[in-house]
Amino acid sequence: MTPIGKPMTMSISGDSGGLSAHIHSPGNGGGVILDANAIDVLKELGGDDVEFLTEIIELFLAEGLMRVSEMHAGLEGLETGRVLQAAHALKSSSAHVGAVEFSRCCAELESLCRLEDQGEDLVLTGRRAVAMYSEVQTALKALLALS
Amino acid sequence: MHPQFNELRLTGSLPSPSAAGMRILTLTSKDDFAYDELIKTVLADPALSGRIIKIANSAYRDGLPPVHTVAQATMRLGARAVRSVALGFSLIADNRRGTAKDFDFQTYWSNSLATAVAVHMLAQVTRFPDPASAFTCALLCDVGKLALACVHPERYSDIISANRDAPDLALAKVEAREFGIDHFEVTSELMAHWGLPGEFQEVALLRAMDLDSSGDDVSDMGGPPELLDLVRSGRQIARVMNGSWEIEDARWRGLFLSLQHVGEELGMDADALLSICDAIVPSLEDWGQIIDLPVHTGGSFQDTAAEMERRGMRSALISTTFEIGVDFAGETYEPNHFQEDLDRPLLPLDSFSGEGQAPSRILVVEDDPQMLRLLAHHLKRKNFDVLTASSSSEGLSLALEHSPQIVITDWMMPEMSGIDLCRTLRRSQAGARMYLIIVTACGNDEQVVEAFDAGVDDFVGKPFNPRILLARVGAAERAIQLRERAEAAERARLRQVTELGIMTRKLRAAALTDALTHLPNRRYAMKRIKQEWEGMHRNGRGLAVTIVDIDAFKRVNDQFGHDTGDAVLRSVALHLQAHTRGSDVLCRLGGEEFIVLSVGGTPATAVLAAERLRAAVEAKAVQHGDFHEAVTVSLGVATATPEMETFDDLIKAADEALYKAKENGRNRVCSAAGAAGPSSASQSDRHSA
Repeated sequence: MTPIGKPMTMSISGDSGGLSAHIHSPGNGGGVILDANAIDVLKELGGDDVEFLTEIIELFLAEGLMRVSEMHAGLEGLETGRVLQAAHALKSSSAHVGAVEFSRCCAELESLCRLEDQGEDLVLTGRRAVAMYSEVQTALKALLALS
Repeated sequence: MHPQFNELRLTGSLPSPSAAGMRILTLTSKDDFAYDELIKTVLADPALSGRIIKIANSAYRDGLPPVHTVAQATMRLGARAVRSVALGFSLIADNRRGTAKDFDFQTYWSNSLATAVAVHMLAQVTRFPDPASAFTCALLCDVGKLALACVHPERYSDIISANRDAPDLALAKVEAREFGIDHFEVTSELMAHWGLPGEFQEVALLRAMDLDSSGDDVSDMGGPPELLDLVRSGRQIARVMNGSWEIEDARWRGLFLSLQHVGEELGMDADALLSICDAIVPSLEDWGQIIDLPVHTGGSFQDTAAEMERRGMRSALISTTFEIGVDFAGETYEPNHFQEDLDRPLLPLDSFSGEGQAPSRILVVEDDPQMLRLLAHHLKRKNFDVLTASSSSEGLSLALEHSPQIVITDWMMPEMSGIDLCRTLRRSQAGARMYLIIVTACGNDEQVVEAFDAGVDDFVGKPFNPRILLARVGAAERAIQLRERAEAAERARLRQVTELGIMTRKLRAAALTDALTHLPNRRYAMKRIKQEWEGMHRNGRGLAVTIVDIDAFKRVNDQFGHDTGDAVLRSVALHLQAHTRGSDVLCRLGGEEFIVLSVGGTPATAVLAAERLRAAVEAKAVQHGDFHEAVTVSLGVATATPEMETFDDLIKAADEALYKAKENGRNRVCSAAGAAGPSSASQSDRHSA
């Protein structure tokens, strides 16, 4: 389990300019942090607009930070509604920037929020999501730096 | 404010709205009034509530379901229209009686209601944006008269009594002399006093400038406001409706014939306008019952026009050629093209915004800026015209302002959810036509059902797959295309039904019309004589028949050919028509023989009229090719007598008189009484048979 806000070490594999590489997280059991295909789709979608990918990632990072703070505050205060709102929003927006594992984690968290008896799982999954966001954020920033 | 209006106001006798109407006026005097309060106030008056719901349901609805509550009616019409309508109805309710002896309050409101219902119908047909407000503007367009009758009952009663048939402009001059203000100015001031829209006041004042000396609203101001056109047209239709419906009444006939100008002003042909006028009648009867006002609806506009046409009185109202592809309500329809529209293939799945079509306008509502950017980007790449809103309230306002064909909205948003946005849109007239797609990351069965119940047309899962999103938008475009084609086909079908009616009537008229002279033919003449013969026995009015025969017509045909013979027939028909009395009916019996029916004629007047015809024909030479001669006619006149058993006896008597005129030398009038007419002695022969 990654503690909330703990900095991640990460590696970027692949040599196609970095942007289309799979980005793995050692802290996440080596799972994929960013799906290269999703990044390629965004690049292609931007077409001649080279700023498009950067803009989408920056929009996600700005909105994501706010949502994750909400999620964190909700977990601390055991306010399920706040956690659910944040998880629901992050579930979709993260998928569009290729953060598939994080998106799945948010979906799981959202489902837990809807259960009557969430138990410890809610807090544990929530913390995992917050930690994963940190990985995603770092990976996306790295991509931005490379681009 | 007009100083004299202030004086009227200070008397405290001006017409005023009911308590509910007053509360509505006060409540809505500020822009930020509470909708809920308006609805509650209307609800406090059950009669008013019913009338507002009625007008919301009778407005042009674009296939919207009927409304059942005041809240729905308010949403449908908009607060501005509800305010105006409530005021109008509350004024009728509380100002039906007064002490002005010669000012008939009931008739005043009946006329106002007829004008309002006509304007409402015209507003719907011409797609005027706010028919309900046009209704109220028309209902109150003469309220200045009511006000003067309330404030100065005796003096105004005397003025009305002394100027009963005076046109409005002349009446206004008398009012201005007597009170220092006329009813047009009072109307405008009252409308301002009640906070009604400025355009209503403008209509009141422009009407004063727009009346000619006869009181008929015919002058062209060169692009006057549309509302003025509607009110002016509605008033003209109401005047016809409330008139005598007697074709012989020259004043009413003039009013009826002037409907042609109304049609021209509204950009529709006379026949289309007549069918609309006939559609106003049941609506007016309906409103009369609801408001408990007597209404006078007379007869059928189309039948009356047909009768005038038969009598040769309506030539100005009919176009000589029957053009089907005419402008109607701002759109041009060609016959049978609607079927082609339906047969045209729909766009294939991967072909958006087909060639030559404007791209669909899509509104995307999403509070997450990243998702909004992505959605908009995908759609813009396919050349859609994309609008974006980052909140539901912004989305609602953009949707109502720009009327996009498709709205794509996120479900979960702060303040108002996407589902609530869809529900709200569906209650508005513009939103009812939009294709609504909701984007949701949820998607369990309950939510899907909830979305469709809220009026959503389709949904897209989140995170969205761009191909699925675009495929759904493609399906939306096809659904919109289909609906638009169905609507166009329906409009074309209605148009064709109208045209078919007009065509049938014209064919019927053609069957009774002589093709060469355009006069009613023998069949019509016989039918009409039979009718008049029966009428004579019912009401005791006299009936005279004159048979007219062109002298030496055979020689014209033999020497100059049949085309010259036809020219002579047309010329004689024209001269006879020009000199036939308005109440007489001229028909061509066949060959060179014509007949004139005179209802109410005595033997002496019939002979005098016949002599006028004879002289008129003789006076004008006919020129056609080598032919340049004056032709003459012989006329046999007979008047119905108690000894005659059938109308055949009358015709036979006229025929015998004609024979006598021929025998006596032609170019003369003989009557069945035996003696030639008083002027026959002065006539001379020109030709031999």
